[in-house]
Amino acid sequence: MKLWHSFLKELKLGSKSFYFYMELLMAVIIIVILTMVVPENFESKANEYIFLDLDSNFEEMFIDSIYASSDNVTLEETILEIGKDEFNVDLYETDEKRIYIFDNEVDMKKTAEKKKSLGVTIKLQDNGMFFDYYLQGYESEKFINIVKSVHVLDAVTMQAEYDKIPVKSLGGTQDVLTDRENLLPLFLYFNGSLMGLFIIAAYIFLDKGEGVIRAYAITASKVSTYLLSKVLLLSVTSLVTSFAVTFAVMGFDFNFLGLFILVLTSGFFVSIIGLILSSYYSNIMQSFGVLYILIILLSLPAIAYNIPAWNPAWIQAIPTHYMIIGFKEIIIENGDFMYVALTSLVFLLMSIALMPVATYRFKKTLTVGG
Amino acid sequence: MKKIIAIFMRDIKSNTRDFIAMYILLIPFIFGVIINLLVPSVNETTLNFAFIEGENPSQVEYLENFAKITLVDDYQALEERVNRRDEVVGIFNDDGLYTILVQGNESEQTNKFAKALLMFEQNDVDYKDANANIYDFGKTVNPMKSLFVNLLLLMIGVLGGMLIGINIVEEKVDNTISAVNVTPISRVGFIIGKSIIGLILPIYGSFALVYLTGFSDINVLQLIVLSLVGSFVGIVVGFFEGTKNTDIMEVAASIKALFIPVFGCVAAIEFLSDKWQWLFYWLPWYWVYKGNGALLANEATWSQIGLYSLFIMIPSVLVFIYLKAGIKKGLE
Amino acid sequence: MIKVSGLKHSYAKDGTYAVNDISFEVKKGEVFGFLGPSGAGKSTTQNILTGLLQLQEGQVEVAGYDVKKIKNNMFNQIGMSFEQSNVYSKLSAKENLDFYAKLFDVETRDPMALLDMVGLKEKANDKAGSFSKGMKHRLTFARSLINNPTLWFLDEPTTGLDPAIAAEIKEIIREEHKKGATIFLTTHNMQIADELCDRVAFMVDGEIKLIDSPKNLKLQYGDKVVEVEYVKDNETIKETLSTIIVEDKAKLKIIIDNYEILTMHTKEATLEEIFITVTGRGLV
Repeated sequence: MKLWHSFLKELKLGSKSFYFYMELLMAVIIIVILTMVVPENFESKANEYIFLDLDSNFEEMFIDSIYASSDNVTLEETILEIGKDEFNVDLYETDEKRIYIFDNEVDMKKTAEKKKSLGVTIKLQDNGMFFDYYLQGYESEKFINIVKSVHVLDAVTMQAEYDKIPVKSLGGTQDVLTDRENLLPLFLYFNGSLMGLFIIAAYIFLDKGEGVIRAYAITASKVSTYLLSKVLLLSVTSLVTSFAVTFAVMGFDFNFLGLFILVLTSGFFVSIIGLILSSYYSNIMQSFGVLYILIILLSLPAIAYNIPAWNPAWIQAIPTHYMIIGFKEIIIENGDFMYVALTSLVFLLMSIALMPVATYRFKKTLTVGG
Repeated sequence: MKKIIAIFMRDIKSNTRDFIAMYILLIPFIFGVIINLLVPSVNETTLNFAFIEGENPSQVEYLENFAKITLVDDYQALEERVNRRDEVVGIFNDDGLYTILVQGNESEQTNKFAKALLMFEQNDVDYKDANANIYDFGKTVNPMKSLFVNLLLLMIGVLGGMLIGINIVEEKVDNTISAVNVTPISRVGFIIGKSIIGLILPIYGSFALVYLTGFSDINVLQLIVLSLVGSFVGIVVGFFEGTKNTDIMEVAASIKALFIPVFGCVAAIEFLSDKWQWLFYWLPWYWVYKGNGALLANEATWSQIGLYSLFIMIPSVLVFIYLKAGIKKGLE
Repeated sequence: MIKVSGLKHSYAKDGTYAVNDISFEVKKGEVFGFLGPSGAGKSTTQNILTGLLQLQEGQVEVAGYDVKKIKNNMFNQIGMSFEQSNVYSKLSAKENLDFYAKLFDVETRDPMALLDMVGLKEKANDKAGSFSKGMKHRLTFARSLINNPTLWFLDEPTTGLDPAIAAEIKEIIREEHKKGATIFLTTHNMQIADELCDRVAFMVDGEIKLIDSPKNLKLQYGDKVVEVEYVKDNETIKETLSTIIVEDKAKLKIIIDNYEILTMHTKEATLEEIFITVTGRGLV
C-alpha cells in the first residue's frame, strides 16, 4: 500500500510538472516526424559514375548489359549539377542503381570525388574491357579486393557460376521492415529506456534539493519503496510514449505484450543504474558528466543495429544491444517473442539484484547533499 | 571585469570541486578514443563468414582476403552460429558441394555478396589477375569518422549550454541568485560571467576532439569561428533553459527535448533527400553540423563559413533578444 | 527512551571525529536539550539517532530499537521536525500531510487539525512552494506530529519564526510534553532550552562537556551578579560585579557612594553565560 501511495504521490507531482507534459509533447513531435517527414523508405539506389573510353561496338555491348541487368531500365539525357558545375550525362536508371555515363573522364572523376561515390573508366585493353576504378582512398583492403575480383572472369561465366552456388536456409523469414519502421527500435530504446538514466537522476536530485528524501527516510516506509515509486513513474511515462509512437508507425501490427514487458523491464534496469549513479553525487551538476558519457556509451549498439555485419564482442557486452534487438523483434512479423521474454526476464533479474545496492547507497548517503 | 571573472571562477571552482571540469576535460578524450577504436573496425566490415574448422583451410585462407572469418567445431555449431542474431553466413561442404548456409532473415544484399565471394573462391579467381586498376582521390578519412566526430562536436557544444542551464537553475534553487542580485555587478555582467564556461569548455573540447581523432590538417581559424558560433547557440539555449525553468526536472525535460532538433538536423543532413532539407534551415544546429562537416572534409570555404555563421547567429541572436527581458527577469 | 554509549562518528575516516565517544540517556517523558555551536556534532548525533546516518562505533538504542538494525516500526514511534524545511513544494499543505500520513502504520492525526494548530488552516490548499520560510517551517513542524510520536526530534524548532509564532510553537511543545512525549531538542538558542528542557547537554567539538538540568547548572555555575550603569567624569560606564567576590562588593560600594547611578539590576547567570564559562566557547 505504501508503494501505491508513494507512486500516486509521484504521479500527482509529475502531473504538476512541466516534465510530464514535455514527455507527451515530445511523443507527439516524434510521431509527426516519423509519419510525415521521414519517408517510408530512404533512397536506396546506388549511384555509379562511368566514362566509356570504348569503340562503338563495345559501348553498345556495355549499354546492352545495363538493359539486361534489370527488367526496368530508363534512359534520360540530363544535366547533373555538382555544386556550381553542370555536366551533361546519360542517366540509366535500373531497379537497383543509377548509372551516370559522362562524355569525358575529368567530369566523371570530379563527380565521383564530390559525391564520394565509385567512379569508373571503362576502356579497351588487349581486345577486352579494362576498368579503371576511382575510389575515395579510405576503403579497406578487403573491399578493394572484392572490387578487383569482379573483373577476373567474364560476365557470362560469372553469372553462370554464380547461379550454381547452392544456398541452404535454416528457415528464418526476412524481416521486412520499411526504413521508417526500422527507426522505431532506435526511438524506443533511446526515449523509452536510455533517457530513464538521466531522468531518474534528475528526479532524485530534485527531491534531494527539496530535502524530502530525509523526511521520507524517517517514516515507516522503506527507502526501497521510495525508489521504486520513482521507477514506476518513469515506467508509466515510458509506456505511454512508447505505445503512442509504436501505434502511430505500426498500427496494430506489433506484439503488445512484448512491448509492454520490454519497456517496463529495460526501463526498470536503466533506472536502477541511474539510481545507483546518482547516489554517488550531491547534485546533478556533479553527476552530469558521468551520465552524459554513459548515455553515449550505451548508445553505441545503435551503430551495430544499422550495420548488421559489424557486431564485435564488446558491443554485445553492452546491455542496450539486447534492448534494440528486442524492440525490433516486437515489430517484425513472426518476431521472436521468446527472445523478448528472455531479454525482459534478464533485465528484471538484474534490476532485482541491483535494487539492494541502490537502497544501500541511498541509505548511506541520505544526509549528503540537498 | 573583476566581478565577471569572479562569477566565472566560482563556476570553475564549484565545477572543479564538482568534478565537472574534469569530466569536460575527459569527455573529448573519451569520445576521441571511442571514435579511434570504433571507426577502423566498422570500416573493415564487409561480410562475416563462419566455417567448420579444418574442413577446407585453403578456402578459409582465400576468403580472409574479403571477409571476416569465424571458425566453429562442427556442423551443429555452424548452424548455431548462423542462427545467432548478427549477420553471419556459413559455408560448408554438403556432399561435395560447397553450400552457403543462411538463417533466412539476412538482407538480399548479404546473400548475393556471400554467393559472389564463394563463387570467386570456387573458380580460383585471383584478384591480382583483375582487368582493373584501382586509383583513389587520396582521402584517408572515412566519412563515418567525420560523421561521428561531427556528431560529437555538436554534442560538446550542446553540453556547454546544458551546463549553463543546470547551473542557473541550481543557483535559483539555492537562492544564490538573489544574493548576486544585491551586489554591484550588473545583470549583463552576471550573464557574461555565466556564459564564459559555455564558451571556453566547448571550444577546448572541439580542439581536443579534432586533434585526437587525427584531423590535424583542418583550418584552425575556421574551427575557432565555428566553435565560437556553435558555443553561442549553446549559451543562448542554456540561458533559455535556466531562466524558463524553476527546478531540475524542468531543466531535464528541456534537455531531453533539445535532443529532437539536434539529432533531427543530423538525420536530415545524413539521410533525407534534398527536397526536405529546407524544413531544417531555421535550426542553427543544422548549419553548425553542415559547417563542421565541410571543415572536417577540408572543403569549407570562408564564404561558406561566413554564410553558415550568419545562419547560426541570426536565429540565436533573435532568440536572445526576445529572451533578454525574460533572462533578466528569470534571474530574479 | 534513548540510550547512547561510546558513540563515535568520523566523516573523513582519518581519525578525526565529528562525534567523539559520547554517552547519554534520555528518559521517557523528558525534554532533553542538545546545545552547542555550529559544527559541535549535534546534527550528526541526531542523524545517527534517527537513522539518517549509519552508526559507525558505539551503541545506540532509540525507542527500544538498536539503530544498528533499524526496523521500520521504529519510525512509527518517532517524529522529526527538520531545521531546513523539506516539504513538496508542488503539493499543497494538506496534500503534503495526507501523503506523509500514509507512510505510517499507526493511527495518524487529522491533517486539518494539525494545520490549524500551527496557524496554516487557511492555507491548507495552497502549494507549499508559495509559502514563506516561516510557513514552510510550520508545515514541517506540523508534519512531524502526524504519527503521534512518542519520541519527538526537534531541530531548531523556532528558527526564523516571529516571536508570536515562536511562542505558539513553544506552547505546542509544552502540550505534547504534557501528553507524555519524549522530546529531543537540538538548538543553539539557549533561551528556548532554558524554557523547555528538563535537562541539557552541552556539546562542543564532538564531545559532551556536561549534562544537567538548567536549574542545577545555574545554581552550580551561575554567579550572582549586579549590573550597574553610572556616570564618571561625564562618561557613562557599565559594569558587572559579583555580589559574592569581596573585591567586587567593595567596588560596588564605592560606586554607589561616589557616582551618579543611572541603572542597577541583579542578574542571574544565563545558560549561554554558563555555556561559555563551562566550555570556553561561544555559541557561534
